[in-house]
Amino acid sequence: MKITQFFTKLLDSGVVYAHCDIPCGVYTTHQAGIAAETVEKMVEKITTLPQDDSIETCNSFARLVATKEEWAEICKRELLILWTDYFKEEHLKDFPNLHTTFWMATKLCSKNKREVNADAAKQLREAVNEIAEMFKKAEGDKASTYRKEWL
Amino acid sequence: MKFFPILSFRVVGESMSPRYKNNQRVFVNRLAYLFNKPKIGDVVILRHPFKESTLIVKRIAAGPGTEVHLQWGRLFFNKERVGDVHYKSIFFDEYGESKKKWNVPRHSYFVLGNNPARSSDSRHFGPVHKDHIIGRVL
Repeated sequence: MKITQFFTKLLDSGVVYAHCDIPCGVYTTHQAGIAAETVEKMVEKITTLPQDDSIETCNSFARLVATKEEWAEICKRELLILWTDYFKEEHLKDFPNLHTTFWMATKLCSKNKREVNADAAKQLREAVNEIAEMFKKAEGDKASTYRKEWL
Repeated sequence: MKFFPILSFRVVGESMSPRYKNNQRVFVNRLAYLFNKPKIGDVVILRHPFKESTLIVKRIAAGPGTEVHLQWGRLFFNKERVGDVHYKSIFFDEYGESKKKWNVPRHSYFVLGNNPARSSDSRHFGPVHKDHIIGRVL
């Protein structure tokens, strides 16, 4: 054994963390809510576009579809963060349908990316609202001041 | 913890990159602050203020008496802007929700990661008392 290895082993005191997620604990449903509402609004705008082939209409259509898909993806990401990082095993006692709710909500995000479907967009907004209610109950008084404003 | 004046640790995480990368080994002088105070720029090992059993590695960014502001994603020490954007989320910036202010008390220090976008530091847990500092990274 080399002398440096010997000293390294002798002095070894474990690990030090250089993490970004030790307990920053800052979570909110606000972003998912905005994203779901944006998706719904985009679907509404797409379905009320004039039925013609003008350049303006084609341009608007492309932009609205791109925005819808982008925000459906943001919504999915935000929900996945809450599902995997914020909610823990102990929350299952209070919210036995937690996994199903999140699973269905994230599936709705994908559906809204694929389709132009007003019902799916409404269901997504309702699912996000349901998750926001669960989050509010789970956070309770533990929420810091600014997070309460964001709930 | 062993009773040697010099200790060795393995860094886990990316908050101190590029200077200290994930899995890099560092040596720490536990006697560095026996007679001297920590200086700005020192890289230190400290106990996490909310979780004493967890050791973290950070850089001393500001000393006692400094007024620290976090606004528009940027940090200000005594009203002077430091570094780059420290809070990347556009949502926080746009609505000004990340506005925070700390007055670093006596015997306390404001610590930051070298890689602010991927670091949990005094922006989250506030200034840290010197008693939490284990030693200086060599």
